[in-house]
Amino acid sequence: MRRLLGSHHGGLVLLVLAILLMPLGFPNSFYFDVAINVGIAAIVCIGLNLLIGYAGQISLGHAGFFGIGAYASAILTSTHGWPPLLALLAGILLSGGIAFAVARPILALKGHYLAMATLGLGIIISIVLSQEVALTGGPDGMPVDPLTLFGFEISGTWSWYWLVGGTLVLVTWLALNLVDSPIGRALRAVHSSEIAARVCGVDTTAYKVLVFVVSAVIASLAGSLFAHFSGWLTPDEADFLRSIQFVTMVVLGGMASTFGAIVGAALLTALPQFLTVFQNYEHVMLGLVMVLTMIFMPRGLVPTLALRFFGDRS
Amino acid sequence: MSLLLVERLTRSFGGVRAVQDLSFAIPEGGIHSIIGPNGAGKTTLFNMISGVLRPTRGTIRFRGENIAGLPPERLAARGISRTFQNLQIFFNMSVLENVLLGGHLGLDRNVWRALFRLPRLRAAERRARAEAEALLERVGLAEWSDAPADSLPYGALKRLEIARALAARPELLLLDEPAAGCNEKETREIETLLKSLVADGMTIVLVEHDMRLVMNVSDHIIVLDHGRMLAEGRAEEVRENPAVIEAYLGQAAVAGGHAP
Repeated sequence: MRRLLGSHHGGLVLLVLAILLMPLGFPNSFYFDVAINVGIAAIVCIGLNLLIGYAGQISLGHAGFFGIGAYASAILTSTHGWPPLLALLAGILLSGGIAFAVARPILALKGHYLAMATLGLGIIISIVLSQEVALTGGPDGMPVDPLTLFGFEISGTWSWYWLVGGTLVLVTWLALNLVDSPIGRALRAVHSSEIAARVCGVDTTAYKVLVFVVSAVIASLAGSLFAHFSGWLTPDEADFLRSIQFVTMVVLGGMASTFGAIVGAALLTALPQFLTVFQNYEHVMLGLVMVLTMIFMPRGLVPTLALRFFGDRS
Repeated sequence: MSLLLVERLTRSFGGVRAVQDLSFAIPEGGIHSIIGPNGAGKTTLFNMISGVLRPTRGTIRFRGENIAGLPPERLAARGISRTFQNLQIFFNMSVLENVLLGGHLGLDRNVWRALFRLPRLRAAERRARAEAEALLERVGLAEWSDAPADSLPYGALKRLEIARALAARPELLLLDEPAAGCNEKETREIETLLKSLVADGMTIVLVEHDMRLVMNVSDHIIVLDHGRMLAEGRAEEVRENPAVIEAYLGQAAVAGGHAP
C-alpha cells in the first residue's frame, strides 16, 4: 500500500479503481449526480491547487473562470449553435486570455493584496455575467444545450459519470506530471523562496503567469462540463461564495497534494448533499471548516493522514 | 582579462552609503575572499554582484560586459551562482529536488513535454538526477538524497546550498559565509570542498568571518571597511597590513574572534 501510494502514479491507479468501483455502491441516480458534481469540483481544485498549493499564490476569484467557461459553452451552443467542443475550446481560450492579460499586474502583488485583487477580478466577472441580461439571461439564468461529442449526445447519468470521471483522471495525470517536472519544481521553489528561485535562474514572474493561466484554463474546462451537465446556468456558479468553496476544498484536502484537492472537493461537495444542516448554513460551515483545518491540521487532510500512517509525504 | 571587474560601485540606503566608490578586479580561477567588520558592506556587495540589489552607481563587468542591475535569473544564465548567509533552502522539496532546481536552466522546461511526460523529458530528468546525485556525493550528502530538505541538520543545509549553486555549472560562485554556524569538522569539510572546486577551475568569491578558513584557502583577499576598500593582496600581505590590523583584526582579537 505504502509503495503503491508513494510510487509516481500509484495514486492515479487508486483513483481509476475508485471511479470504476464506486457505481457498484450507488443505490440511485442521486448518487451519480453527486459524484459528477464532485468530479467537476475536483477538476477545478486540481488546477487551483497548482496555483495555491504548489506555487503559493492565492486566488479568491477562480469561480470567475469557471463561470466564463460555463457561459461560453452555454451562449455559443444554445444561442449561436456552435458545436459544444468548439464552444468549450473558445471558453478555454477566453479564460486563458483573460488570465494571461491580468496575471502580470496581479501576480506582482503578494499576500493580502493578491487576495484582494483576485477577489475583485472574480467579482467583476460575476457582475458582468449577471448584468449582461441580453447575453446571459441575467440572474434568472439561461438554458444550455446538451453536450454532443463527435456526433454522440452525452445524456443520462452513466455517460456523464464516465465522461467526468475520465476527464478527472486525465487532469490528475497531467497535474501529477507537471508537478514532477522542472516546471513543477520551479513552482514549488517560487512558493518557498522567490529570491533563491531567481538566483537559480527561475523567471518567477513567468512561472506565476503560467500557473495562473493553467489553473484558469482547467477551471474553464470544468465550467463548460458543468454547464452542459446541469442544463441550466445561473451567475451563482461564478460568484464569490463558489470561489471560496473551491479554495476551502483545496485547503481542507491539503495544499500541494493533488489527491488532497480531490478529497477536499469530494467532502465539501458531498456533505451538503447528504447533511441538510450543512446545506442551510453553508457559509458558516465553510468558515468553520477553514478555521478548524488551519488550527488542527494546517497541512490539510491528505498530507496529514499520509504523514501519520505512512510516515512520509504523499 | 579579469572575470569580474567592479568599477566605482556605490550603493546607498537612504543617507547611508553601504558601499562607496568600490573598484577591484577578480581574475579567473582561485578563491577570492572579501572580509571586513560587520557593516563593512560585504553582503551588499554580494547582493549587487548577484543581481539581488541594484547598484546606485558604478559598473560590474562580467567577462567584459556590464551586468550591473540585471535581475538574478539573467545572471544565473550567464554563469553566476550564489549561496545565502541566512539559508534560502527550498524546504518544501527533497534534498535531491533542491539540487535539481539549481540546474533549472539546463533542464527541459517545455510545458507540453512536462504535462505529457514525454520520453525526451524523462530521459533528460534521468540524466539530471544522476548529475544531482553526483553533486550530493561530492558535498557528502549522498545518503540524504531522498530526504525532505527540512529534515537536515544546519551544517548539511549549508553544503546543500553549495551543491544547488554548483548544479547550475557556474563560472563564478559567490559564497556568503558558508561556514557560519558550522562546527570545526564541518568547516574543515567545506575547506576541502572549496579547494577541490578550485582545482577543477572554478572561480570562487567568498565572504567569511572564520579567519582561519579565509587564511587557509584564499589566493586573494579584499578587505572592506565602511563600504570602502581598505586593503587588498595575498593572505600574508593582508595579515601584516597595519591598517587591517587596526580596523579589523585588532577588533576581532578584542572580541575573542579567530585572529590569525
